[in-house]
Amino acid sequence: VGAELGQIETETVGDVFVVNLIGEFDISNADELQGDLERIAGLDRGLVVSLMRTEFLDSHGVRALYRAKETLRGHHRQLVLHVNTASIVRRVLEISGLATEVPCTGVLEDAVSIAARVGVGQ
Amino acid sequence: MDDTVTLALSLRAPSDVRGWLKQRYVESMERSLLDDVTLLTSEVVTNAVQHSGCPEGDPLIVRASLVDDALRVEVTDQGIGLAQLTPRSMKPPSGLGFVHLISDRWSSAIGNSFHVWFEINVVTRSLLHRAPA
Repeated sequence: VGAELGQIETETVGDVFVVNLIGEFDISNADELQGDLERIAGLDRGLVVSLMRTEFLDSHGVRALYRAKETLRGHHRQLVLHVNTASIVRRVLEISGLATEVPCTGVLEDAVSIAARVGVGQ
Repeated sequence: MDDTVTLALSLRAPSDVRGWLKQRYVESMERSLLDDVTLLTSEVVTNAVQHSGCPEGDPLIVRASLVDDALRVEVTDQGIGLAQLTPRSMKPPSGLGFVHLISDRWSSAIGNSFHVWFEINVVTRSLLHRAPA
């Protein structure tokens, strides 16, 4: 079910992983999303999650982002979100509080630059 | 406005209900309102999928209606439900946590089946702005 709804594509920009969440993310692909984000967040490199092509993200997706944030924090790094200012996804991030807890930007270059920093406390 | 759809209980049900809402209301409902209704309905349906205890394929009924100046969505499953439904977490919000944070009212009821409903206050005019005068 999940693969039909959403796709997770990962690329590297310099030393930073950019994970693109494409499509819809809900209970049907929550395990896959959480597993992938946890694994990548544990690699001790910068991480940008791009939500520019995310059409839907529910509470499971938000929880996965929070867990990735905490994992990165253990490596003195911070999760950075690449996201539009006006979208259902941004609304979910704002209501959950995550949008005020991690850097959010609509400019990928800025997101990568922030994510590349080490030793940043959250 | 008083629409009902019956879904089959499965992991696909949240996506199915989002598709139904989009098809039914994308032309008539303000985008931000439809976004909120879509998120909350998806979360309530997900809650039923996870916790109703019903077998896959059981009917899951979703009704969207206007009650005075509120948009009301009610999700009914065939499970036994809980007397007092509460969000499992507010930070980060669980599915019902989002319902609690965004809706104006929500609750649950146990009868022959289990109902979870929420209401969002709306201005009727914005909901039906494309309806004939």
